[in-house]
Amino acid sequence: MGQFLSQFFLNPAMLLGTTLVALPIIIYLLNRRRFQRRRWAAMEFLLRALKRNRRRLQVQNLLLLIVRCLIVLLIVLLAARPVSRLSVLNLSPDKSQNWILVLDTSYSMGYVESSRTLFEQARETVFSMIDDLLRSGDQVAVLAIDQHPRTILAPTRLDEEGRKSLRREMEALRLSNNSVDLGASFAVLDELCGKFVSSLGEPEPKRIVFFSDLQRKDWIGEEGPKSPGLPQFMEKIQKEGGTFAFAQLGVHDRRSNLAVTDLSVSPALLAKDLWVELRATIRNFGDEELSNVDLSVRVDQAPGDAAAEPQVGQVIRVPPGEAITRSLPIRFDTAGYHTAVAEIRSDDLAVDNLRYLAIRVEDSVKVLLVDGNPSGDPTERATFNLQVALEPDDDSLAKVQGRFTPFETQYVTPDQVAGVDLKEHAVVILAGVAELDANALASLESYVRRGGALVVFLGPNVRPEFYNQRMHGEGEGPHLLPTTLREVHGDKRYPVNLQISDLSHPLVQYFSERKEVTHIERPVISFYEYYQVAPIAPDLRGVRVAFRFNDAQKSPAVFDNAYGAGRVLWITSSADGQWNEFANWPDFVVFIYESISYLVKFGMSSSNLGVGDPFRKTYPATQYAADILLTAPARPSETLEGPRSVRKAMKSLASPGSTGAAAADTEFELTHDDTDVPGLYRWDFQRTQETSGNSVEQFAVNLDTSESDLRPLTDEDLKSAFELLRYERFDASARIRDLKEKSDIARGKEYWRWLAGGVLLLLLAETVLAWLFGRSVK
Amino acid sequence: MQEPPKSSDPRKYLDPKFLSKIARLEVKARLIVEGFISGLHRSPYHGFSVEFAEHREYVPGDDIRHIDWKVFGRSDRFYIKQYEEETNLKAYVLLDVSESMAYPHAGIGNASRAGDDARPSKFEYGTFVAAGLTHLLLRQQDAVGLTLFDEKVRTYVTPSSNPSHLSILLSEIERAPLRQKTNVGAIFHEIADRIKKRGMIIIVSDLFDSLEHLKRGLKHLRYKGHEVIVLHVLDDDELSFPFQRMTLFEGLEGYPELLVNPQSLREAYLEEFHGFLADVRRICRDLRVDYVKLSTADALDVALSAYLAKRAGTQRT
Repeated sequence: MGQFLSQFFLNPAMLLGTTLVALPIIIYLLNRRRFQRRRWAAMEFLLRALKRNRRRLQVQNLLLLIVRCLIVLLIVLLAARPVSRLSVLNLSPDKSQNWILVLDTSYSMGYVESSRTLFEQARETVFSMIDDLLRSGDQVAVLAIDQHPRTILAPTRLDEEGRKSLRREMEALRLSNNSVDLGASFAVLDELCGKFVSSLGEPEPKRIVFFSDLQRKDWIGEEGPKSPGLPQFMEKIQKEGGTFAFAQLGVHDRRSNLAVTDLSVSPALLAKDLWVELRATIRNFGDEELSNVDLSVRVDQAPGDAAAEPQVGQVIRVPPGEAITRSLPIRFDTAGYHTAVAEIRSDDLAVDNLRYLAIRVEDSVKVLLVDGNPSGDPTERATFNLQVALEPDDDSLAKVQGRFTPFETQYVTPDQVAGVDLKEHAVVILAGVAELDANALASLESYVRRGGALVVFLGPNVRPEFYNQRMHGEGEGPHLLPTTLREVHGDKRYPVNLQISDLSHPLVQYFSERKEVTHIERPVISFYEYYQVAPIAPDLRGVRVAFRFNDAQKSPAVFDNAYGAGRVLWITSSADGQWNEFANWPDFVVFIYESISYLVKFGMSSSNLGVGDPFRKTYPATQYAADILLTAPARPSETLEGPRSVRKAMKSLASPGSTGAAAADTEFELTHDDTDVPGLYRWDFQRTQETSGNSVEQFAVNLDTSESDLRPLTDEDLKSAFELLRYERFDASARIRDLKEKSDIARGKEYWRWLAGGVLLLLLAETVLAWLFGRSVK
Repeated sequence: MQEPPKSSDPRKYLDPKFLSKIARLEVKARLIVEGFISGLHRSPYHGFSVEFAEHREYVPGDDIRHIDWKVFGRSDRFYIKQYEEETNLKAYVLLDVSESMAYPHAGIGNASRAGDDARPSKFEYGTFVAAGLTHLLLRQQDAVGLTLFDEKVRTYVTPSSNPSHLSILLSEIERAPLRQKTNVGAIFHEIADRIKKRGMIIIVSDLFDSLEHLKRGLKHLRYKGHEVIVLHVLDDDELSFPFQRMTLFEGLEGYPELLVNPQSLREAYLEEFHGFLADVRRICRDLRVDYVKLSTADALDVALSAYLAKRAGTQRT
């Protein structure tokens, strides 16, 4: 009954006042009980008068009573605010609608504008749509998009329970710490669209509303639209009678943002007592220069630790669109895991103002040099230049306080490789090695696959058949050697030089930024002979060509490829001076250092992860720990509860049924997938006396700061990238206002003005009638 | 007894409210007449004289109170004022003593209104009229009789011109109870049958009875050759019906009670009541009966003047 009445009255509870209609009747009856007595002589005339006027009096009394009751009734109705519902609900010309609300939950939606984040604005808009725009009978689904797009609410009919479910899901929804994968998001959206079908199986029209900050970088990449199939998808939606809209969030089209985009240590190879540089990079993603930017760097301290002063506190100026890097020289006195945190003062997007770094400091960085040209005379060895570069003689170089290089080299010949525990070495360098026996190759493959770094210099002793058949092998790969070696090329009369092939290659960056100093592309670095390799396709996964020779074929000179968790760097010429003057190049040492740093960084990738990347690390049996506690940073919604702790266990990687030595060689894997919160994670291992290893390890999780580029997608961008795109801008507040106005019209407006007029008229009528009926004849 | 102040206007003796405060009717009667007479010179009725008709020479044995000393002063001779001789006028005062005449003081518990206590009831007013007339009549050496009636003749006093007759009549009036209904028609018939010789009938009543009976009764009296004056005594409430509040009207003389909002019936009641008055007036006119409407708020001279006018008319014919 209440629901029925609420269709016609805005305040149906006031209808309880209709009981007051009896008030005039009660007053009339009470008044008849309050009278004076009078003995009257001329009663005959009174009776005659009454007889003559009885009916008239009755009518008058009744009329007055009715008028008074009507006054009360109209006042009650006035308070109840009646409306006409003829056009709104079932009689409304608009049918129920299907809605898909797409909410961007990438971290850029945490941008604060007008004291609320864009995500909060989006959520509040959805709440107001639930209350005022979405009607009973509508179907609604909600999709959250970020790196892992997912359906939050499957198509749900909006009855009382449906609204509660929608509200509940919206209240529970949280921002992620990653960016939007538009392609995957549209795939999930397409699948969700398929669930809106009629009873006959026909697709139903859908209104898709995007609640997103519409970052340009999500939609348009350097090579064009990131989701080329979008226009076709939208056309399909529109052919089905649906619409596509972008919700208006915030008021500003341009949003500035500062982010700490990088925190690294250079060189990446760290050993104790070695001076290194801690580098923090701050990028200004906005259009205006930002000065007075406070940068603080803490080493081995927690952010927000009030008791500790930062090691670095700088005020820097960052021009628009540019990145500034600041360095802090640092030396670690102890081996083990160390941490660094770089922080800038908070701006409107706070989550990217912090960056974390887990640093593993070794006692030494062990490098295994495998010499393909062993000789009693060290100067004749293929690895001689490398040896000198990596571990210079103490007598030849003045030692600065601490040590000069972190490296500790071990020299072996190819036949000794199989007997070496490669895991103890950060890098293995093959210098002009002809071939390896099967065990050595297997050991090498295992080593690299598990995160090891391998550098291979070719040379005159190399047997291409071995490399092509064993290191490259058949099939698609992956292989240690991503391509095949062809013939040796070169002419001593016409030496070739290096050319930068991939400017974005980390190995190249150092040199390209210092071209004039390093002369990387000048003829000072002459290569006379080198192996040509089969062309490496540009899109060959995991392979990058850093340098090429400036020959007619632009032969790859330096390239690297992924192999398992590790990486292999190939130099198609020799390490010694037989084929080139590479070692004579003053920056040869730097090249080697940078190469190793680049490779070892990949091997150390388990210590520094991106948000959502799983932690995976294998441990030998000797490092097994039965009791492991992981302490992870608190989620933003659970900050008050502090860091989270969880017990973990290592998983044996032994083959089932393995025994004896095989069992003894078992490795153990430690994994953790829940890395959705950026920060420092800490492992505490309880090891027995029989096992060894660090009792504490740490790893860092950082945001992908590409999401920090808040430049919005403009209509021009959409038009130029997606020619056929038809969409609308969705302003929920305006829609709600419009609907209310339409509803007012459909309702024929409220009747309160009419009722108020009626009350006034009746009051006037009552006064006049009472005077007329009760007037005296003079 | 409350003696009137010597310096006060004698006309106040004609004020019913003043008279209500005087206990004895005899005193009231005297005051009424004195007030009336003293005011005649200033009243429209000054053409009527009640002093004397002519002079005659004094002879020993005449009452020296009747010597006209003004004439002696002019003529040095003694003359006796000779009042109008008795014309054998017999006046019969018919005073209604039915319950309706007790309004507004009828019964215990009558709701009092402002002025109720000061204003005399119709009966009281009627007694003032009757007493004043009686006194005036006797002073003029007319014979006056009294009949007190309601549904029956309660008291009948035969006319006499003896001055001591006044106290008899007044005491009868003072003793009259007001309890019964009215039946004027029947009374008039009875009086008409009882009175053999022509005279003047002065009816003091509210006439709350059937108009037809009233008409027949008056007609009978006229048929018998009597001169009839109707002094229609009414209360101001009955004339104006001024009530505002819801009122339970309790009927007198056996009428039922009625709970009504007076304002809603006022117009209709007045129409009825004034219609009744018009009918009575018409009946009187048609029967050549003098009709005087008296409100209990009116001064007594109106009643007395009416008698005198009638008296003068009778003499001329």
